[in-house]
Amino acid sequence: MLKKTLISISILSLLIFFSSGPAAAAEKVRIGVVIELTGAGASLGDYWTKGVKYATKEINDAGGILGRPVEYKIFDTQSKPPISVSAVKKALAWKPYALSGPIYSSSTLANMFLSQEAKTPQNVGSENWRISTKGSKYIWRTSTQQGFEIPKLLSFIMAEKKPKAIAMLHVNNDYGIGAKETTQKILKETYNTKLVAAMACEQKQADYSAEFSTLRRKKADALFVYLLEEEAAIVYRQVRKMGLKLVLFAPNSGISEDTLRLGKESAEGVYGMSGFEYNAPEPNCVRVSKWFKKQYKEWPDNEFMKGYNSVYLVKTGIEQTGGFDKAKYSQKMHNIFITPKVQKNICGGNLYYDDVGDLHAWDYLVQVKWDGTHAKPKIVAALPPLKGPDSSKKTKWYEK
Amino acid sequence: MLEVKNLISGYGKSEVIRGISLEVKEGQIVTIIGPNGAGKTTFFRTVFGFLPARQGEILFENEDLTKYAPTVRVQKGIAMVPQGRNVFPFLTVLENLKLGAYTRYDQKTLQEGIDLAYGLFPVLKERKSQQAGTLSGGEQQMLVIARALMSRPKFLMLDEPSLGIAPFLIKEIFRTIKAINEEQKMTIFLVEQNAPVALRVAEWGYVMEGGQIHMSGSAQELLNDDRVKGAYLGKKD
Amino acid sequence: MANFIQLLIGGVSMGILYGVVAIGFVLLWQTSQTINFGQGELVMVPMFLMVALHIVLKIPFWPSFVLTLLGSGIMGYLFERLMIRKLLPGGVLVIVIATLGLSGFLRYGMQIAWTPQTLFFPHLFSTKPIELGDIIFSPEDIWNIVLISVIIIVLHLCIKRTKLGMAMQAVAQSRETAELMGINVRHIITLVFVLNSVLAGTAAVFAAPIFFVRYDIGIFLGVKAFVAAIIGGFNQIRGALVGGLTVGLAETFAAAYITTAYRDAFVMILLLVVLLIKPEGIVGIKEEAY
Repeated sequence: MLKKTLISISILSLLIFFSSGPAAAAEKVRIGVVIELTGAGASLGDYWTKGVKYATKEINDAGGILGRPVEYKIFDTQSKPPISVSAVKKALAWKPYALSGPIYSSSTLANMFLSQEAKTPQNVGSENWRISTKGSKYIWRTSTQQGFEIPKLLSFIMAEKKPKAIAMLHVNNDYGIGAKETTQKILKETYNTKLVAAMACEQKQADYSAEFSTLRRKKADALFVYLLEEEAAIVYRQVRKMGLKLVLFAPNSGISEDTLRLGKESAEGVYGMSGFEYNAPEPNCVRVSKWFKKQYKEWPDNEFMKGYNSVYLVKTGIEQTGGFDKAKYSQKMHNIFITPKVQKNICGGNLYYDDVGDLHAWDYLVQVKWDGTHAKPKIVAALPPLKGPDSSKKTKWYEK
Repeated sequence: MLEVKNLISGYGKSEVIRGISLEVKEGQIVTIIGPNGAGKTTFFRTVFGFLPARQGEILFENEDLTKYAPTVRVQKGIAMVPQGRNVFPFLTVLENLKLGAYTRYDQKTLQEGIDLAYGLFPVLKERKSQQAGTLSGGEQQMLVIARALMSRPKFLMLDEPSLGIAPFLIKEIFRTIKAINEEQKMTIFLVEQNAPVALRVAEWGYVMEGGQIHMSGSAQELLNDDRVKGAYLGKKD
Repeated sequence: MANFIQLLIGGVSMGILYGVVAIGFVLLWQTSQTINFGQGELVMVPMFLMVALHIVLKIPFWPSFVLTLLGSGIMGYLFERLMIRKLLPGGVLVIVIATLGLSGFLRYGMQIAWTPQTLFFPHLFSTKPIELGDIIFSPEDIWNIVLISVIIIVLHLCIKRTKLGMAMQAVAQSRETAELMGINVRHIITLVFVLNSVLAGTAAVFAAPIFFVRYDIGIFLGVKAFVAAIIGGFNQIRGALVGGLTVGLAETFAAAYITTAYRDAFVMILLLVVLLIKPEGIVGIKEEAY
């Protein structure tokens, strides 16, 4: 009898041993990366994915999250909102602990209800202000939304450049239209003025003669270039080509590495805002950027840092919860102040997440300088966040 | 000059030409007459190479043509005027003629050919800069024949030159065909539904029905044959 | 008025670029009844080739340009010999599906093999604007218009005046009659594919400084050129050019005088209007005429 039992037990343990592959896999922390792998956002998606990959490796090399290794799988949104919805569905069917991405606001707005329904944390790269008005408790941004970025940028431009007529070019999607609405609101409420022209541009648009003719007619002396990376670079080139004299200023996308690599000398003088730059005065941004430069022979775009942080946010949340309960994770990750003490590798210094998943962090006001071979964002000032513990701090000027 | 042996061809599954053997002697005008759907055009297209021969041989000056593309057959000295008015509608009359000499594009032959064409059909000279698509049916037929002559063929195949053309023009066209044969010493192979006209200019004739040759004989014999008269000449004595 | 001229230059400089790509559509359609949905990729691949030669290998501009055109020609040759020739008997639909497949293959192949990033390409001409009263010219726009016009005129003369050009016209108007003339239709079709690729390669070199170089630029240019060809007339080279200019000008003027938000929509409305009123295109000829 004993012998029989022993044999049964050993067979059973053997079976368990050999079936432990999938059982162990279930023990991993899965992250579904829903990202712009192809289509217009492919370049950004590539940086993001590289960030996810690097963070995953770093975390796994250090023993994972609470002992569990991180595993990610990529789902392509093709940069299209409807496809992003099915990509998120596919990703959720894979039973991830959290989602990372997408970047495009239109995609996030289309698919964020799914992560809300599935009660699965989603760390996105989008900046449209509406995302945080939808009431989801499962959405977090990896960068400052346009509603916080634009006022900071405008306050600098209005104070330092004193433009008489500001015009705006914005990309014709949720990211760009959201920015136009925010800009118009701030100009009206804070400065009692308005845009002399707000013009929607298409992706891949290469001819801006129509827009420029309007700029001239309206005698614009400052232009807010709220476009995606490639189009922003094209606009800088055309502005120079047509000899227009304008103060150019742009959000993150207009001064990111991806834009400057293309814009080169024509980007000289452009003002912009950024949270994570490879030359930001913040040790982790510098550390991961140097790794990237070594690995890929170029400086990373800020999307790399955002993708990187999207994984570290999951790590932070799980560690703060002390377990894998997603509802508790959601609770812990709101109104949280993530300092290097809380999560030593995360980029950007002190990050504050409010009750709707909006990020409040230090932003850097930069001006692009051309050094003969590269266009580099030079930091002019570090601006404190609008909310959270750091909001009481003062602007740090680096040069004026 | 041309000798066809046991030729079989057709479209898809259907066999249209079912074993035809015939001969065209150098310098003659030979005609194939027969009713609509007898396979005359299919036979011509096979000889020229638009349709592959499934079986049999097509010997031109004792060389088998079946392995050659139509282009090569043109270089061997064969020209065909297919049914209908195959002009290049958006090119001028002169450009159409020049294309006819595509395989022999030297200035001298070109000029000779153009002179010959204008000599045979003076109306083409008047219309030389006009788009071919704007010509009348008869003029287009003249152009097509003149264009076929531009390659200086030894052997001219004409598929139904009288189709859809006013009667007085039919006469003129056939008179010219006869003239080409006599003056240029060109062998002419002619398919016609209009049997009386064809037999009047031809020396030898074949009667085709159902993809086979039913009768052959000198044009004169066929003109006088009662069966031919009854079936194709439209009169009974 | 100055404004109008300014817009005119902008519209024409884009339109002529669409036009030159659209001419390829027309040439292929006329000679082989082929609709090539990989047309945009025939522009994209030479763009990358140009980057490889001129920027990566640092070969001077003109040799790079010539090598790019050569490469384009070879690509067109292989495209016809390895793919179109085998599929042509299957009819238009087979070709459309196959070229769609090929375009995806080239597009994503380039993304994986090279980069999903947009690559930099320098200006070919001076960027110093020329001011003429109220009008500001960019030398780049003017040179693009002039050089592409020259290429189109040379192409036109070759087609109208040379023996091969006449043969191409013959094949376009009736393949069988062309064969009757002793024209080797297969060779002519191959030649047209090579010519199309070289034209697309030329467009690529002029487009690269304007659009930069990116693996998916082909969709954009391909669609614009296709729409241009339909608007202008799919069976006329003139039509492609007229269509290209119409699209370029419509975009620019609609953006300037109505709204920038719907510039693409106006082109589509224009397309619909043309299809409803004159389906053969502005200068196209009804196909029944053949």
